[in-house]
Amino acid sequence: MLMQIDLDISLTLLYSSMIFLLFLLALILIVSLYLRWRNQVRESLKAALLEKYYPLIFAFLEDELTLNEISDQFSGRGFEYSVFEKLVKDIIDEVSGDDKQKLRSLLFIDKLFSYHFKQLNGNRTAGLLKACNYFSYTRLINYKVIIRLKELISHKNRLVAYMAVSALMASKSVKNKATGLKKIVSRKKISDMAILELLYEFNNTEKNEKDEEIKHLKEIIEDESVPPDNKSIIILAVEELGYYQLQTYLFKLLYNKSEYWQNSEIKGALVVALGKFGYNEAAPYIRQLVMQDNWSLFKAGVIALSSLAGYENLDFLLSQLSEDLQKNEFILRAVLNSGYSQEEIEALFVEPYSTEYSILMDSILQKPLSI
Amino acid sequence: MSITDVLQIIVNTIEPYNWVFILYFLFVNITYIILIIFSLIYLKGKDDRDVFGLTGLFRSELYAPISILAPAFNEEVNVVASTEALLQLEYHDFEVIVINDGSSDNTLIKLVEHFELYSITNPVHLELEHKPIRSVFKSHRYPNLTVVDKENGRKADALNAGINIASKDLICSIDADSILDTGVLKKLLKAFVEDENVVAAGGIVRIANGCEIENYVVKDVGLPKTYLGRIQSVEYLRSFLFGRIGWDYFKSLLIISGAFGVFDRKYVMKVGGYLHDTVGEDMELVVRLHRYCRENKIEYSIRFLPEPVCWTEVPEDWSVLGRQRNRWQRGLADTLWRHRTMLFNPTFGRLAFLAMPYFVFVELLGPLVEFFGFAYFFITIILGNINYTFAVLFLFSAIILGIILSVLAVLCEEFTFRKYPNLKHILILSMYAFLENIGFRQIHTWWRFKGLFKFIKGDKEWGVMSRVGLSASDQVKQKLSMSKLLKNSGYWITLAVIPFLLFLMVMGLFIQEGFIKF
Repeated sequence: MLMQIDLDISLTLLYSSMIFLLFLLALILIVSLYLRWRNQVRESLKAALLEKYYPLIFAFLEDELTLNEISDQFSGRGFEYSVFEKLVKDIIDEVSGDDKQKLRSLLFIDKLFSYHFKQLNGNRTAGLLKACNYFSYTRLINYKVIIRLKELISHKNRLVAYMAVSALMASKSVKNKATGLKKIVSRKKISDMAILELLYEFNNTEKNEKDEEIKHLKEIIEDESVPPDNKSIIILAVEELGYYQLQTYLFKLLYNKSEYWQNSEIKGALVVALGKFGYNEAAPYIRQLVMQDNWSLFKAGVIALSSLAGYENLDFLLSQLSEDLQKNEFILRAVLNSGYSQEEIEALFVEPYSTEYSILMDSILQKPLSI
Repeated sequence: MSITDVLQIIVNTIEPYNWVFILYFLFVNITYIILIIFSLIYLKGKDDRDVFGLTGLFRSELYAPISILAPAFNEEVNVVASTEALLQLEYHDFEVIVINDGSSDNTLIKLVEHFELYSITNPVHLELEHKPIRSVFKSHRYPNLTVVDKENGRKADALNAGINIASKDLICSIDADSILDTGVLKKLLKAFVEDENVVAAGGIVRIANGCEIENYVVKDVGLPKTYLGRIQSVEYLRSFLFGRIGWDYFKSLLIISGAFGVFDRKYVMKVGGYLHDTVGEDMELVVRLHRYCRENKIEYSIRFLPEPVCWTEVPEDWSVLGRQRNRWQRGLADTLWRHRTMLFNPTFGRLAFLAMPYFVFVELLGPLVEFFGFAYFFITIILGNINYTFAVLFLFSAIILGIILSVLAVLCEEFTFRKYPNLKHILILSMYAFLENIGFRQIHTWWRFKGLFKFIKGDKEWGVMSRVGLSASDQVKQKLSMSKLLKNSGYWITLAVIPFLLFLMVMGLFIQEGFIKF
């Protein structure tokens, strides 16, 4: 093919491409060197700023400088704020008591707030994330910030949406926090870890706002637009966070006959949560569930009953040992985890299964169960 | 019939098909350029690296904790320090499982003595197959340390034993010589927080040779001192900063380095763990995970994150490096052969039409085309029936393009992570990006070519992979080894011959054009 092409054309093409490539190579080398030079300039600028801010911060701690005087040191460049913020955060991590609180107030400087508020209203992803992080850390959430954060929950970038809700969790109003939580958990493809992180932030351990939190959590749990995988992690987290007041409410949901509530992922989570709460009224219902032919509900039921413990539940579990080795293994592991000794369990076995169970027992890995 | 006649027949046979070499050259380089463009786009938008603070998650028992699996075979020198370093990682809930894979030295004794290990009798459910476990130990000093002593069965076998013992949701497999940055697990967790369907994630592997290392922690980043070390620095930058990132962008990542990768244990169990009878177990597992999820219509993603850094020692000896590259090529061939039905199969979506063809036609068959291309080129030079202008221009264009690709990787580094502190480093890397294409690349092609043949012959040997070690004294020992220099003289001669041939070609061109007259 190429042989048919005129050699002169090929050579001209090659000459041109080689010149182009040489030019490109030179350009890339220049850009690389320029970037290195620029970064070195930035590094020296950063070093100079750190040298400038260190004494200022310590002077502020010693009451020799006021917030306004420190604020006057900024010329308004984003880089200055980044260096200052990072330095203050690093020092905060190293000190304790009143100094910590005093240092935090440095992050409340008007210029810093305005800079981040501007970033929050921009479109640049990195700026949005940094701003969300600032508001989340400083908890400086006024109504204007809240309005913008609520808008950002619908951002197409899931990370921005998540960070916006994370920042909303710094709000003093439970209602605002709940709004963020409701919106984000309604989105698909939000990871369990992200939901857990937000629920832990939602749960205020410093102020007693349990009643209001529970009211909103109920709304979220009832909301059928929340995807089942998100719903199940919320239900499990509700138990882990210790919202005991929701036990009866969760139990009632087990009887909801709608397709959504019959979803085995949600139902399984309800059952496990009730078991871990120690809600004994649910035991008869859970036992029925264990006898059904649904593997995920079986697993959830076994975890719940082994969490509820008590001889009645554990004897019931042992009575469920059958020809199915996979189920047997799950039951035995659960029973072992709930306090029965290996000897006690082995003593319950009778022929013809005793040998088989004994082998099974030897093969059980003692570790926490998960659904 | 003289040798010249035979060579002439070869040239005449290949000549009508020399367009294949040109098309292949264009295909490969266009693919690389596309990958670079998308990697740069990805990296440019990723200046949010420091803004991901997690607090609540670590108070929950419902999130995914990690088991770090560290296989060790005859590692008595480093095993204590490397395990100590792993135990110091910043993460709220993790365990370290060191698997002594039937070492014949004092690896186990060192571990038992230093970590005050005691044998435990908890039964283990062996869901994955591997060589028998002799004992399992726990430590009096670190409750999150487990040591497994088993019969020798190679890395994949040791990892399977570790997966069986692991009690956490995520497993992190590393090499014995991997050094992890202390915050590496938190950074990797980001992939799992961002996306709920992540089944595996890998981080960047960087070269530890030349860095200042204290107690298995990289204190100061530097470049390797040797030719081979520096060439590999450029290769690793290119491979990770635009190879992996580019494929991650296309959601078609087929490789997570064996030196450092995190997997969802549940899925690894479902696909049956690591394969024993392959030398490319890391890539094979990733491809099998893709295959399993696609065939079962499971929503999933396999991610590469450029921020979490793992440091590894690279071989600076020609023979060891040759054996490593030979093994990599066999591993690649083995994986692609096992999963050949995925190629152009619509069930596997973009994997079947993007990543698989790239790996088959560029990475697997590349050495074949390059080897015959180089051979053809040199034969025509020997025979003298070549248009020197065309040959020189084509060859130099290829070399410059190769340099551009490597320098772009250096640029990616400059854009983003800037791990190398000095301007001198950048200049050295750029120079080695140039040197790589003259001599080393041809030797590398030969190693891969041999690997392909060994695969066809069914060779699944791992080969001896001796390591020098990363401490300063180890480096001194290496410098003093003159015998190695002599042993590898063939490679050095090749490195000298190739520029000489290039020089001859340029001279040929000058004579042909009449610039030089006899």
